[in-house]
Amino acid sequence: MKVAIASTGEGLDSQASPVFGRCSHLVVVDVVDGDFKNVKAIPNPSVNASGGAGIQTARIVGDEKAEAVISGSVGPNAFEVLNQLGIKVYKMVLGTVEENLNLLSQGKLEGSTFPARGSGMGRRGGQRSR
Amino acid sequence: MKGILPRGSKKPFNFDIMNENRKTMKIAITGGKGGTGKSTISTSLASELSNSNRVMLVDADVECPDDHIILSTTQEKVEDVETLLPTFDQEKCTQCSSCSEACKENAVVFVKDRYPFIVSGQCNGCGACLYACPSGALQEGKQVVGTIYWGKCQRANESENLILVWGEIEIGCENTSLVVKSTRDYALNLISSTTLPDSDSKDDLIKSPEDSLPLDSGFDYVLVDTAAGTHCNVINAMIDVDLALAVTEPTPLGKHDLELIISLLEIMETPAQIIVNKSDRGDLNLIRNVSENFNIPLIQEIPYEKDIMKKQSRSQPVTYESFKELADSISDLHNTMIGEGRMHQ
Repeated sequence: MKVAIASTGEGLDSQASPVFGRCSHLVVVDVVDGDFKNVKAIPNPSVNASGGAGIQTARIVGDEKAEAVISGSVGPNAFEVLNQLGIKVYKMVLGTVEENLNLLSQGKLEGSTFPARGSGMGRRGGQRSR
Repeated sequence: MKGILPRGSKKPFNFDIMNENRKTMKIAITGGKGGTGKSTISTSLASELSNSNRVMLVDADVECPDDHIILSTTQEKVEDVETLLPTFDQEKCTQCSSCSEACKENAVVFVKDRYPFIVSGQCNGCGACLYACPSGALQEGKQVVGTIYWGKCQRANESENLILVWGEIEIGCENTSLVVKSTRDYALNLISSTTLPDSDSKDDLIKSPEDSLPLDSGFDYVLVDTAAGTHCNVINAMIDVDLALAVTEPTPLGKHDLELIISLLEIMETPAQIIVNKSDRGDLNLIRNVSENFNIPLIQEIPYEKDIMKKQSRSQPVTYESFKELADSISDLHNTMIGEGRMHQ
């Protein structure tokens, strides 16, 4: 199964990212019988996007043909896109990419069925002037 | 919108930009900082002015309009605010990704070997994707982003002279400025249509359910209650007003945000005056200094008074000396403008 992990760095030993749309890298891994193959890190171009970052990040996951995502909060827009693409979302635990992948292969990661609260963190969502 | 002049070309009180075809005075109640009392002052000033004038209050804080709750008005829907939303025809789509690349809002999602789709909440209705599509696979659809309402006061003394118009955005939708603009346009159209000499054409201009709107005698005042901040929603609410009242409080944050809104009003060439709410708390000199530095008059101090909030929370008319004084200075100003021929009767 191909899995994309929202990460704060490029490798399996990087910390998993608590945010999805603006994570610094996506680490894409083929999980075959508990082994991790074809590890690939994709720098996230949306990290500083003004809006729609989650949508773009979800699109990259789709382009990579990943079947599952491991991440912290996934916003409503990104969640909708992942849903439309039939990609399952798992909630990360604090730790490295590798630790999260291990937990996923052991079936110990919790699936997310609804998005994180509120709209995106972009220019109109993050800092309301109210 | 009026031409934008560079900063420095300051015109603190430029009467010339008033619309000379109307006697209606359009006043925005704004102020930068939230929680300073914009809605309190808007509703109190509106009801004070309505004792001897016809007043339309426009609540342009479409993300949480609450003037209709404070004034406990009736609520009638006028119309929906709609925006363009593209629809996709998969039979014509060649999966070229042009639509997705054209979308600066990242609302059109294209994933390799799949058909594009739209995240409707992210779409601002610009229509760029329709132009970008080479195969005519996108059509123009619509989505509702908000609603415009009107209501009249149910309290006996105000019911005839004060009407409220407000906009309300759909939950989760981000296209706030469009809803603000539509609400303001609708309200301002109401004024201009009442000044038309030909009463037959009035019916065409005004949409239902205005049959029941008490429009016969026009309006002396239109008060626009804006959202907090200095962003597009606030700008859209203040376009074309004759005067902006900047409501603030005597705190460092109140001072900071007041300077922001005054700078914005300078750029918009809108005459401004300052109202200090909770004037007996904090340090009033903070605001006096801003008033001097920007050459904007501080026209009213409103002390912190428990009775105001008590009446407001019980939905009773707030009568208070400061609001009477404020209403008087506004109508003096209005009369001066008419007297000087700045406005036509």
